[in-house]
Amino acid sequence: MNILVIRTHRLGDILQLTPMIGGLKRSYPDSTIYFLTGKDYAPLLEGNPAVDAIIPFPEKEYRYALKNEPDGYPSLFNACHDLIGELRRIRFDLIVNRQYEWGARFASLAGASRIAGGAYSPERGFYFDDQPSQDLVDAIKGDRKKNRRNLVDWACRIAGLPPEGHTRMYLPLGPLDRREAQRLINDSRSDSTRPIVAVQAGAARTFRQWGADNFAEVIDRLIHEKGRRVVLMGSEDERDLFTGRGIGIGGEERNLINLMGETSLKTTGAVLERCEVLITGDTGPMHMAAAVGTPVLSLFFGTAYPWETGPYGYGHFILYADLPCAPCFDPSRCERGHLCKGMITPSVVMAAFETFDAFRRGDPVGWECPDPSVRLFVTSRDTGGEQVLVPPEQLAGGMPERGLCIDDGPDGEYLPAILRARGEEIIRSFMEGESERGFTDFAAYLEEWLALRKTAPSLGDEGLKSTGELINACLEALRSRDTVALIDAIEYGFNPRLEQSSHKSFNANHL
Amino acid sequence: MNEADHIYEENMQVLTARWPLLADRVRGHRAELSWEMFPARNGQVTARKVLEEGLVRHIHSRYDPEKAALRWAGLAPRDADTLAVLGFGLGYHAVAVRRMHHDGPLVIIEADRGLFHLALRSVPLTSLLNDPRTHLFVQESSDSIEEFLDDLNPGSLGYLPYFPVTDLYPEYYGPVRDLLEKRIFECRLRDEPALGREIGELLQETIG
Repeated sequence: MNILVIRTHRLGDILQLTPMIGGLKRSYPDSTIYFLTGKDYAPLLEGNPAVDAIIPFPEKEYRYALKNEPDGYPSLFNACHDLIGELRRIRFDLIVNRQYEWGARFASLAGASRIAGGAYSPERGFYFDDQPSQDLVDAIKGDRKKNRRNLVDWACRIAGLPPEGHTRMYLPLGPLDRREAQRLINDSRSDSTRPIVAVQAGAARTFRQWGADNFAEVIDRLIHEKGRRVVLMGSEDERDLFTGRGIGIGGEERNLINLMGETSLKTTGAVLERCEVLITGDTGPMHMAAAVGTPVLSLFFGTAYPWETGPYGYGHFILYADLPCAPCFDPSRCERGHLCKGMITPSVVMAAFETFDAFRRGDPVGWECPDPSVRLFVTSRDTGGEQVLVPPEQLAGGMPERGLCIDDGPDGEYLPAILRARGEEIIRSFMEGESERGFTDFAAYLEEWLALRKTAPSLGDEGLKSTGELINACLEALRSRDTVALIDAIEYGFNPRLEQSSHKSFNANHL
Repeated sequence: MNEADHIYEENMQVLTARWPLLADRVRGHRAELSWEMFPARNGQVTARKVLEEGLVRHIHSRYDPEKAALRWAGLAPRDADTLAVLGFGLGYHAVAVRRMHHDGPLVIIEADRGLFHLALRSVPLTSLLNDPRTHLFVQESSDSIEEFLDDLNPGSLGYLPYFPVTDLYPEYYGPVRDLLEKRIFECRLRDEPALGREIGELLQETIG
């Protein structure tokens, strides 16, 4: 049985489908599951044991080219045609499409026996054949407040999965990702005895941002009142978010680790995994933290609805500004000046953090806020296994340490297998004309080998010497942009070393 | 006569019989000095180009050019009646494409006549060149390739870019690639109008 899942963008939305994919694999253990996703998001699924093949789609490049390079239209058309041809050759029995309109067209053109989620035909336009999809649309378009079901659970229903208590979201991490996270944190001069709190202040949509000043105050209090280290997460674009906010960005505050713009998708996950909690709004990293088993303290204003998009799993905290107008349909045109954002103050967040802290220790907890519209919830499960939001006192007794980790996947994966897969990926990039991506990935691959050269005991003195020479030759080939020499280096230089080392104790323990 | 001369004579004999004009041009043409030929580990000839500041770029494997060529040939589109290979280099991958799976016309396009000369001196290509389904364009303009495609009127068309060579001559291969994409696009619109319409709508939505 061949199954295709479609979702090409938004990292949170992709991660929200991972419980469903796991459920599909459990329900159809002999199936082959493909995932059509945006090229930039493929790492989120690499290493997921339920995903047998990722079909990367350069959606972002296509959008750019369509708008800016009209002469390139035939190439884009042909690339789509090729992709559809490839999908048709596979012959899917089931497509679960979680991307309406655009995904619906792809799902329909792929010609599956059954489509769950959005589909399209020239005669009917966009349509749903399954009842859960229709119910979801009705719920969102109707009285949204009546919907109490998380999108993760909706996705499972759409895929026709039994209500068996879906596992948490899952972001696979490998030893290389974890080592990079460790290096980034160790490189700071922070006090390593302090627990780390991650803060993601930016949000893709401005109306979802709480404001750098508010976050700056929370960060300051976490460090100076609560004895925490704080790691700032964020994208390259968000680097300047805290400039001039007086919280010691730039080095004067040793317990503030600024990793904005410093981490890849997987490294972000690995950093979050090392944190006791992430404080953020409704953002992609919120879902990443949940997917690596790190609790979240998330701030939901009227611009998002925590029952639908709140962090999935057990024991996440959600602060919600529950105004009558929330959740708003058009946050960009708020007539009340985003009153909801002002209701959640830095002091309210700190109080929620204290509640979270007590909850984790198993101490009695309660929640009282001067503004009764600001509510605090903890994520839990109902008897059918679907997510519910409950006040923290209802879950008194705390939760087990990292209690969200239900299935940790192949994290102890054998290092040679990972390096071999990365090498194959690089070769594929070069052969498909993605040279820039290949060069970037090769540079990262070389860094791994540089580290191994120093620490892997199995290569021996002679091996160390020749590996060093090989690395130098690769640096030269990178300078020349010599793809053939780099492919040769992987096939005839590095892979044989992995082969040799697979008989010895060359694994993640040596990192 | 050494082995290289022998290979060259045999290749030239076939080339002269099928493309006398090209054979004349190639005979009088020498490769740029920036090309270096040397034996790969498996004994086959491989080549690299010396760029500015002494940097070099290889166009075939230094270990096993034939094995690497098989891998490249595996990327060729399988459902095309007519297949173009962009960037001939020393030709290993074109030979592999023909040998592996392509039964229809094979259109070989090479930007550098000097490099083609080196290929004729280095690799036995007689069976590829002798094959009536092989069509050769060496340092020819896009217009002449377009004319040829007009005459051939292929049912369906695909192409395999050999990036180690095409990346060295982007100003030549860029327009050729655009031409091929356009032809493929036209073939598909002609043969599958309904699918073409749907893909068109899909792309329009992508912009939206």
